[in-house]
Amino acid sequence: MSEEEAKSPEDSEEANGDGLLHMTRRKFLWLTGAGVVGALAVGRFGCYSTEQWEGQVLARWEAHTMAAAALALIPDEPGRWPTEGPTPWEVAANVDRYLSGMPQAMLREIRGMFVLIEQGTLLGCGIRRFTRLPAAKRLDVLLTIRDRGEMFALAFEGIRALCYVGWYQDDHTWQRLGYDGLMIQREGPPAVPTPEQSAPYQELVAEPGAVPRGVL
Amino acid sequence: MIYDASTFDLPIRIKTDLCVIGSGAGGAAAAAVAAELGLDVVVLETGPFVPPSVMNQREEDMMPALLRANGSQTTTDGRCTIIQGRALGGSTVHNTNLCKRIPDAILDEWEETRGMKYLPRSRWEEIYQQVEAALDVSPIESHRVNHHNQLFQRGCEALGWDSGGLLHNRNGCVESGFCSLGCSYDAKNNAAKIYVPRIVEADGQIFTHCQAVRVLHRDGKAYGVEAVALEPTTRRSMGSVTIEADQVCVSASATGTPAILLRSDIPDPSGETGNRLTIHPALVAAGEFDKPVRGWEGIPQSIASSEFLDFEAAHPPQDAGDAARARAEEVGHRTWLIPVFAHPMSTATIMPGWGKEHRRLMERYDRMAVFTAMVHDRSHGTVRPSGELDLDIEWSPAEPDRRELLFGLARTAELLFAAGAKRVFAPHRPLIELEPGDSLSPLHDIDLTTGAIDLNAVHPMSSVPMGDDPSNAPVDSRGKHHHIDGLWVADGSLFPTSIGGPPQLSIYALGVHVGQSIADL
Repeated sequence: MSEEEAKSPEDSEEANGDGLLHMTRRKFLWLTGAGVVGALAVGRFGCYSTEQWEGQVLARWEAHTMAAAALALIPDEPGRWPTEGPTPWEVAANVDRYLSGMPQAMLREIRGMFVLIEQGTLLGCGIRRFTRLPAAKRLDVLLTIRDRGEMFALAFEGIRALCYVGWYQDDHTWQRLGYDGLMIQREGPPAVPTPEQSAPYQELVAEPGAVPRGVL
Repeated sequence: MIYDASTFDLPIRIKTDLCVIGSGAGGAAAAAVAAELGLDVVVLETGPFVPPSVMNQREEDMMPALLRANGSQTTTDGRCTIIQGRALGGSTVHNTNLCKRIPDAILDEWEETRGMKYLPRSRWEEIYQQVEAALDVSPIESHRVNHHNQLFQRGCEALGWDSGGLLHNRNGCVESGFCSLGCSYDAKNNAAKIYVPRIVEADGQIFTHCQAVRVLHRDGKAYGVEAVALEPTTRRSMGSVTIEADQVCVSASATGTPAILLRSDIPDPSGETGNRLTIHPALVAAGEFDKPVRGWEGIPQSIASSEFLDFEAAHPPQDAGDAARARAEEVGHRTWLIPVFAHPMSTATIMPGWGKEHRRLMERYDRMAVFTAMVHDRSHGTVRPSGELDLDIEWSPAEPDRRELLFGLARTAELLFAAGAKRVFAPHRPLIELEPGDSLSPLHDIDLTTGAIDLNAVHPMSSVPMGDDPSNAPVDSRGKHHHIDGLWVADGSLFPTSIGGPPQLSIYALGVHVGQSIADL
């Protein structure tokens, strides 16, 4: 069989120079498909808002996922953010600070949790990623993940706990609880940094740059 | 002096007589005693030095500063949170200062089953007295019992249950209630306050931000420790710190110590290293009261109940008859009841639910009392090293412990109602909410294997159990390893079983015992 005989009809069209912008139907379909996949990929993995993020642990997309989960889990109703505490973005920043210094194995698990949540809509054949859903739908996604049990349920518990770590460390959330906060900020006995009390500890610490005894 | 290893010119190699891994109750006491007896000592501490002057009472700052995994350490299945310290002074910096000796029935059992020729009862008495004097252990005065603990006592009295005051190691306590976040007032007589200055006074050296990776050994003899300096914020390795020492004492806690020994390929024909972990698992229930309880105020734990903690029944002698053995298996002899309270962030993570349900629960925070049932456990968990710096913990309750835990949870609910609670919550998923007169059977029916309720533990122990017979123990009753000369263990790993109460006093005592044994050798 000659090369020309082996061509498919689409290839024949290309040879004839017909079709949109000299494009074969196959190439058109391929490019269209690639475009859709690309758009989905961008929609899935890119285009996060450019809001300033200076986190040390969480990547920007993870911070967005954290804030989106907070908006679903913390308010009385998803999306109706309470006025007394930090913003969802501040919750994410609080969580970022809290996670600093976590063991690497645990950080890997946390990153896996964020991937699962952000892309978890795929489990239900959803097209839009978690952060692009309305708050009520986000809660549905989180509960779907939880209901799968085992490690999925642990991921739900993980993001739920992080929401409250980020929310309840803020002083402004305490009044509703009747909690009067730090004793060192109230009237009362002074904390230790009085010179006479802190001095004994300072005397135990080597000067910066000091070399320990016994260096070989 | 105390050196921050992250500031060293790395790599660094240092020679000393004794390298102690860990600065908690066991390590600090062992290091202080050995240094005072003339040994040149280097102590390696993974965490930072956090003096009272930088303790700011904020959970989000102090938990990462003082606790392993920032307070989020769990078993590998995520179902049990295990809180442990990782700062100079170890868990003694954040604990609630309770001091209790090991009961006679347990010491009797250890003598019967493990030998303990270097730790007869007379020796325990001697080292307990030394430690109690050093820590200035005293009863918590009745006027310091806060409202939360008073409610606990009221409930016990209403039910006719045994209850009583506890001993602690504090001086100058201002009753701030922030003990679990480190004491800003320096009232805790902890390892950092009592033993660290003694180490420095005796010319010992302490390296913070320095994590031991493995014990170096060849031909059956330890010759040092391979460690790394950690970057203080990321806690990643910055470079190696090698300690050359003829004696190595591993005091990295009942999780850290077996992980280091196993990573080091330390021989143990008994197979017990890392395989007999006990943790004192606990469940909590919360009760809502009409009036504010404000459980965060004052000394957190000053009253406890041993109504269901019967060491004689739980530990019959080896030659006991069938009736005594059967009784030992009955439920209700291994549960210690005590109030427990946490600040808002930690409380919120324990409370179940989300959204409106969770917010309504938290709105009751100031009117809540929380009681816990801690079980003197028999189930054995495991510890394994994970990579060079991490470890994996597995522990799940065998049937007798499962029954005891649920029995204890039901007793906490009973106690809360007796104290006047109008509603009791078990932090189960979904929430279990009970009112006075309700059956407690939902608590007995909880399936602990599904993660529907979180277990908590703060007393890991017995993962390198001592015993004088090398065929069934990795270390002897001096803490000396049976198979590697110059290798010692001095922490809660040494307990052959769980001990049913706060372990810090006994860990300090073992530190003194092991430190003297090292120096005497």
